Formats: sequence, structure tokens, C-alpha cells
Amino acid sequence: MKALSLPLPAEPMPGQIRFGALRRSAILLFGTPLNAVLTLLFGVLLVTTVPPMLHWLVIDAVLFDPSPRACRVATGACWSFIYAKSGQLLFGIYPLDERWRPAIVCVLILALLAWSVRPASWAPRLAALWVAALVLIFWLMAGGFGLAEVPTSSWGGLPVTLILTVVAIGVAFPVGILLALARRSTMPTIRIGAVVLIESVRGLPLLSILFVASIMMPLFLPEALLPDKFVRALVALTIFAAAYLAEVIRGGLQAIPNGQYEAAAAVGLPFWRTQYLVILPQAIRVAIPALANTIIVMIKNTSLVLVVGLFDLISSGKAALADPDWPSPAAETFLFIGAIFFALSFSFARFADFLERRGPTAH
Amino acid sequence: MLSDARTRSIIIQCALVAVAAAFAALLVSTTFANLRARGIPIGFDFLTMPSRIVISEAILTYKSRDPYYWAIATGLANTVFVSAVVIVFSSALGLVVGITRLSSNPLAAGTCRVWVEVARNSPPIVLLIFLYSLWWKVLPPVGEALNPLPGVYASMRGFVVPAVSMDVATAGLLVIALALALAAAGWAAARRGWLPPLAAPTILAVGIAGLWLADAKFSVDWPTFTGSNFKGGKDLTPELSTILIGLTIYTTGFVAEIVRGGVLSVGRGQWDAGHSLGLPRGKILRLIIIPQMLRVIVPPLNSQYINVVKNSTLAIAVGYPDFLAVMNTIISKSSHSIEGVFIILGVYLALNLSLSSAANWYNRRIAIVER
Amino acid sequence: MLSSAAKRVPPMPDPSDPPAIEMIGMNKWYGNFHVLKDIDLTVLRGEKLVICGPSGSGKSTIIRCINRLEEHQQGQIVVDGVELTNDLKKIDLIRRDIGMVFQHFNLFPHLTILENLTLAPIWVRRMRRAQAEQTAMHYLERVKIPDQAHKYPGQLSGGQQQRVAIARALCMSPKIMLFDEPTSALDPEMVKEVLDTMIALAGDGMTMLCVTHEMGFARQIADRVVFMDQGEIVEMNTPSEFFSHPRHRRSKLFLTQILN
Repeated sequence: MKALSLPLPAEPMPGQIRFGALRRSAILLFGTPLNAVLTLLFGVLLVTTVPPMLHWLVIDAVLFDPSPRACRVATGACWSFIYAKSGQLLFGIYPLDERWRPAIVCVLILALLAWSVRPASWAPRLAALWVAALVLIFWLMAGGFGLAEVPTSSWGGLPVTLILTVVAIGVAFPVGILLALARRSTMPTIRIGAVVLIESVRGLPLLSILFVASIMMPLFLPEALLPDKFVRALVALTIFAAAYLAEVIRGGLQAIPNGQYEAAAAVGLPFWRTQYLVILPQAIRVAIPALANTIIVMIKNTSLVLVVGLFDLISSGKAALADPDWPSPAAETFLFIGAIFFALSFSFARFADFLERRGPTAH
Repeated sequence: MLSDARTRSIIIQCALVAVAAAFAALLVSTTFANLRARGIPIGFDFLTMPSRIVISEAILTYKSRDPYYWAIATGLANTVFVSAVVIVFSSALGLVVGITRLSSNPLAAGTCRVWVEVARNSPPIVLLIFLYSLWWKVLPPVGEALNPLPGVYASMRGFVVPAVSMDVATAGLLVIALALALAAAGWAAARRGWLPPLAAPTILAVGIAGLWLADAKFSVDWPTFTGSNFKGGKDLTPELSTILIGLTIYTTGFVAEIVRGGVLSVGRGQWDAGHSLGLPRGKILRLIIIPQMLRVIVPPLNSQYINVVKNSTLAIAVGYPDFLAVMNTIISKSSHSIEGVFIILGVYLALNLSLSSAANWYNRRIAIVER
Repeated sequence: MLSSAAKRVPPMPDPSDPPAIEMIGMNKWYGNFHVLKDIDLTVLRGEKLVICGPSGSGKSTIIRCINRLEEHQQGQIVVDGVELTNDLKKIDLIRRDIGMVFQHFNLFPHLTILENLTLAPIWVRRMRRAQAEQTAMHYLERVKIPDQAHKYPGQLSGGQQQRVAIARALCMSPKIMLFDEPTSALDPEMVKEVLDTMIALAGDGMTMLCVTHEMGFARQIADRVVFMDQGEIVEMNTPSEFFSHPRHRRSKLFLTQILN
């Protein structure tokens, strides 16, 4: 049902046909009393808000003038700040001369992500590809073997966001599969354990899990074994992602008819072979759109690590804003950071839509 | 023996429990050893001691010499307040935006689509920080405060809105009248005739009239502008306003998508069937379409509401003292981290479990109404 | 209706051989519901058994107990000299030697026809891929669809899918084949192609247990017909006796219903 639309007049009146597109849009905008009211309402809204926004964003903005003084005088946005600070915004306090390294890492991760969500590339060698890529990424970021060494405390910006997302999901994926299977197990202790674990993680805000990880881990572990901030945040993100992925995969498992289990049993496949060869390939394929959504949620969630003191995109933005030479254009900076996240998750969402529309392959 | 299905199942389960217990024992013993080494006591006695922490703003009355438990309650009240306000506003707005997205009017549908896409694709924390950074850029100083609605002022120092005050008895009676009206609405949903639709408004009107006749202590405190400041009314700081506005914008996007999905989930065939039975449009909507829509909408809506409670922790990004922020301060101040962590986990689990059991109760109700 | 070429001489079962399947005093419950009551049934090697009866009579459950898709609670089931217990190793061994064809085919939709056929030989029998594919193609030719080997199950008709399912079971070179209403989910025009495949298989001397309502098929290939009702074996006889002189009231009623 289209709640607010009434059928358009089917027959155009004679003599008006040549106005084609104009007439069509006029009908859409003013064809019914309700549409006329809506047009008026939203017209007023847009006319009052869009021009001032355009003035600030473009017309009165400082676009290329590299001197901070221009920004102090201008009434519009200070985009030259973003341009001047882009390296710091994207890569944080990573050493200036080495910034090509995190840049390559970002491109590599994004390309691999896009490649991996295609069902066609689902094969055991994909996992091998990822492991190889992660080794390469770690070498590029941390250095050694011919590259200058950079400690994790100097990592920052977009690569931190992407690495956290990818590694958390990568580790959480097999854990999530095990949890989903455990939750469907016939053994009561295993099932109850999985339910308690999944539901309590899903019932908690990620921020509280991050806090707990950063507060509790120093108490759980002897000083010598204590991982740094980066790894602690990674552990928290992984636990979080595993619980959500487990539910997504369980959704896929529930879509598999019982006959598949029976057929696998009848040809003599034991439990784990049945899961690996018959059930999981189908279940994961069913769950791909939901998996893509979970990846989006994780990309967005990773922005929370700044609260436990990691140097992600937002913290790099805040650090860049502290430069006293510039008039601290905070709105522009956070708009830019928001735009990066938007671009990442919007394109992923469109990709997920595409997969969903295309439906399961070869069925 | 090991290949016997039952024996194997028992052995696996015992092994699992043993590993879990050993792991837990290891964690507990190292934790206690670590705590002892640092000379940190364990116990909930500290809750009754004066906290001496500062909570910058609160719904409840709080002073820094109040005990820890009251500080925790203050933080919790802030979280509940923020969540409740965001849930109410985003539900109402989400309904409007979701339905408008289905309109044939491209201007209206397009604007709403932009809203939904921005909300769904940006991290809420970035949205909040961005809005917070806009505050001083967009709003005028106190002297030139905007007055968009009667009694509502907006300036750099935040919003000032009319405060409603009433005594406890009045509030109680109002709640009872509201509950009766809601019950009447539920009763009316499954009945026909001219009386049922009027039942709920009548009860509410009679209740309010009764309160007025009984000369209830009910007053609205309108803010007045004195030239340099406001007298009366209720102050909403920029921090609180940012949280409320930002989370409402964010959540509305998700609610709108749920509403849209619910509307689309009821097929054209249901309208056709209703028309073929000779039912008028309003009856089809009320008796056929909405009950089916609710069944689709309620479960995802509930998980959105739980998300609101979780997202309210982002208050920390703009410095509003919600429950988690208060707990964080308490932990770093009192070094009772274990106890603090248990309180954090317990409170969020309790909040979210009660929300989902309320939704389950409602779900069962609409399932019965359907029959 | 069916070609007389498929008629064959019943093999003479050697009484000294252990029977293919032996059920002694077998009982099964779903909760409080008594599905199978005191089942005693012996199936000889090379024998063809058709099990029929009204819906809910327990006829599917009885063959699903033979490869332990269902668990029985009382009595004994001995398959090929091995008793079915909770022992997972024995269950795996028995399942390798029993092929099963389901009402709804249950092909693996994410694998090609060839992969459906080679999956179990490779992963259970540890056969080399090339050899498994050779065997698979052999059986696909037997069921007359070798040209479909690289398609997915969803691209085939119901009758073709069921023939693939039969070939999949045969690839494990089973000693016993179980058929659980193999033609019930098919469109009428596809029933014959599946029955013809089964008749050809019967001609090779395979031990077969078929739950089916195809009485023409039963008359043609069955050595014995088992009639079940309410969880009990009511009557067991040769097809000619069973169809011409049913002894029990319930079998008579069933036959008048199904033949009309």
C-alpha cells in the first residue's frame, strides 16, 4: 500500500500532452491536495535550510587558500584546513615520511573486503589470502625487515579503524560459527553456555565491553602478559562481533531444511564433515546480506575505540584541531570524518542490497 | 566405549564444564592475587560512603557529599531519562518519516530518504560530536536567544523549555487516567460500533477535567527572559540537548525503515480482500492492515529501543554524565573496579531484559487480538 | 503398463546367509505416542519389500530406523550382522552400506550434480576424485542423465532430481537401498521415469525396501508386500496373494481406497 498516494489521473487532458515531463512532475507535486500540502511543507523546509547550508559549504567557504588567515576571515567552511591536515586526519601521528605505508594498507583492506563478500570468491584459499594479506599489512604498519619500525602507539586514523574492523571480524567469524552451532547443539550444557554468552554480550553496550576489557584485563592477567591498549580493544571488539555473527549465522542455519542433515547422514557423513561440506556453505550463503550488515555495524562501532584511548579517525581529528595556527574548524573536520564512514558503509550497504536482490546463487 | 553416542555426549559436556570452571578459577585467583598485591579491598561497603565525585547535571537531586549508591542512581536516572525521551520522539518521528518515504511526492520522499540514509550510514558517535561542534556555530548568544515556539528558547547555553510541575498525588492520578485510557484503547481495538473508539478519549478527558475540578497542584513554569538570563523553566544544557537531538535523529532513521518495511509487508491482496468484503477504508486499515503490520514491526522496533539504551552510553563523547560515565568515574576514583564492573553488567542486562520482556508481553497481546 | 522385459526371476535366497535386515520386537515412541509396536521383520539378501499403509501408520519411520535417522527404544535391529546401538562407529559403518532415497530428493543445492555424487565417495570412502567422478558418470548413465552432470539440482526437473538422488545413493555401492515414498512429491508425468529406474535396479538383485503407494510397481517387483496400520504390521504376503485375497479388514479397506 502506498499510504499517501492516490492514483494519478490515467488520461492526460487533450492539448496538454506535449508538456510531458513537466506535467508529470506537476502531477506528482500538486496532483492531490495531500501532495500539494507535502510539497509546500517540504518546499518551505528546503528553501529555508538549503541555501544557508550551500553558502556555508561552498559559496562562502575557503576551498584552496592554504593560509589559516583566510579561514579566520571567511564566514563559510574552512575546507583548506581539511586539505592541509588530510595526512594527519587519515593517518594520525604516523611518521610523516612513512605515510605511504598506511595508505597502501587502507587500499589493500578495502579491496580485499569488497572481493570477499562476493559469493563467487568463497573458497578455502580466501582464508589463506587474508592471512597473507594480514601478515603483509602488519609488516607495512609495524615495519622491520627493511622498513623503519613504527610502534602501535604511533598508529592512527583510518588504517586503525580498518585493521580493527577486519581483524575483529576475521577472528570472530570462526568463533561465531562455533557459537551458532553450540547454540543449536543437543547437549544442554553446551547450548546453555552458548546462549548465556551470546545473549549477555548482545545485551551490553559495546562501550561497556570496551571499558570492562580495559579495566579487567590488567587484573586478570599478570603484568608481563598484559597486552597493549590496541590488543585489548581488539579482544573486546572480537567478543562483540562474535556474538552478533553467531546470531546471523544461526539465522542462516535455521533456513536449512532438515532433509539436508538426513541426506548427509544417509550417505554416511559424520557431524563435522556434514557441517563443513553441506550445511555451512548453504547457511552462510543465505546469511550474506545479514553478514554485510554486521560488517557495516562493526565499521561504525569501531569508532568507539577512541573512548579507551586508541588513536582512530575521530581522535586524529581532535588532535589536528588542536593546532593553534588554525581557527579550529571542528564542524568541517567531523563532517569530513562522517563522510568517510558514510562512504564506507553506504557502499557496503548498496553491495549488500545487490546481493540480496540477486538472491542465492545456483538454486 | 568412546564411540557410544550418549557416553561421548556426557564426556564432552563434563570436559567443557571442567575447562570453563578451571578457566574461571584461574581468572578469579589471579584477580584476587592482583588485588591483594595492590592492597585493594573487595566488597560493596563503599556504596554507602560519601562519593565526593562531581556529576555535572542530573535529573535527580545530587550533591557531591551524597553516598556512592546515590551517585549511581543519579547516573542511572540520567540514562533512563535520555533513553525514554529518545524512544518517544524517535518513534513518533520515525512513523512520520517512514510513511512519508512511501509517498509519491518526490520532494517529500527524497528528503526523508536522505534522512534515513544519513542516519543509517554514519556512526552515532561522529553524529553526536559533529552536532556538538555545531552548537556554538549555529546558535546565538543568550542575549539574542531564538524563540522558535512559545516558551522555548535556544541559545549557546542550551535550550530553555517550560517546566511542568505537579504534586505526587496529581502525577499518580494522571498516570492512572493514562493507563485506563490505554486499556480502553486496547479493549476498543477489537470491537465495533460508535462507542469503543470514543472510550479512550472520554476517559482521558474526564480524568483531566476531574483533576482540574479537584484543584490539583498542577502548574506550568514558563521561562521569562530578563535581558541577560532566563528565569524559571527548565534548562537543557548543550550536552543534554546534543544527546537528545543526535540520538533522536539517528534512531528515527532506523524506526522509519522498520515502519516502511511493516507497511510494505502487508500485501495489496489484503486491501483487495477487504474491499471485496465491502469494508470501508478506515475499517480495513484498523482491522486488517494495522494488526498485521504490528506483528512485523514490534520485534525489530524492540531491538531498536534496546539499541537506544546502549547508544545512550555515547553521552560520554560530549561529556554528559550517563550511567556508564558515572560508573567510570566511580571506578577510577574508588578503585572498586570488580564491583563496578558487576554493577555495570547487571544494570544494562536488567534494563535490556526488562525492555525485551515488555515487548514479548505486548507481542503476545497483539497475537491474541489478531484471533 | 510396465515393460515385461523388466520382469525377472526372483533369486533364490540362500537360507544359510545371515539376513540383510532383522528386526526383533522393535518398539518406538515419540513422547507418549507409540509409533511402532512390536515389529518383527526379516529381510533376506536380494529381497524386494514394498511397505504400504495409510498415512501415519509408521511405514516411513520403520525404514528411517534402519539407518538410524530415527532411534528405536526397544528390541533389536540387526543390519548385515551388525546390531544398531548408540555406537557411532557402527552407525557410520551401517550407513555407508545403506543407500536412501527421500520423498523430497534432498540433493545438496549448492553443489553440482557431479559434486553431489562424488561428495560421499571422496569424504567417506576416501576415494580419489578422478575415480569417484568416473563412478559417478557411470551411474549417471545408468539413470540416463549424464548430460546434466555440471548443472545444479535447482535446474533439473523433479523426476531428474530423484534419479540423481538414486545415483547418489548407488555411488556408495550400498548393499541395501531404502526408498521413502520416492514418487509422492513428483508430478504425475515424471513418476514413470523414476519407477523404471527402480525396476532396473531391482533387476540387478539389489536388496530393496520401498515405502510406496505405487501398487502396479509393487505387483511387478515385490517379493513381499508389508501392510502397516497404526504402528503394527497387519499383513505380510506375496503381492499376488495380498492384492487378490487380502486377509484383514483393514487391508481390504486400504486397498479399496487406494485402487479407486
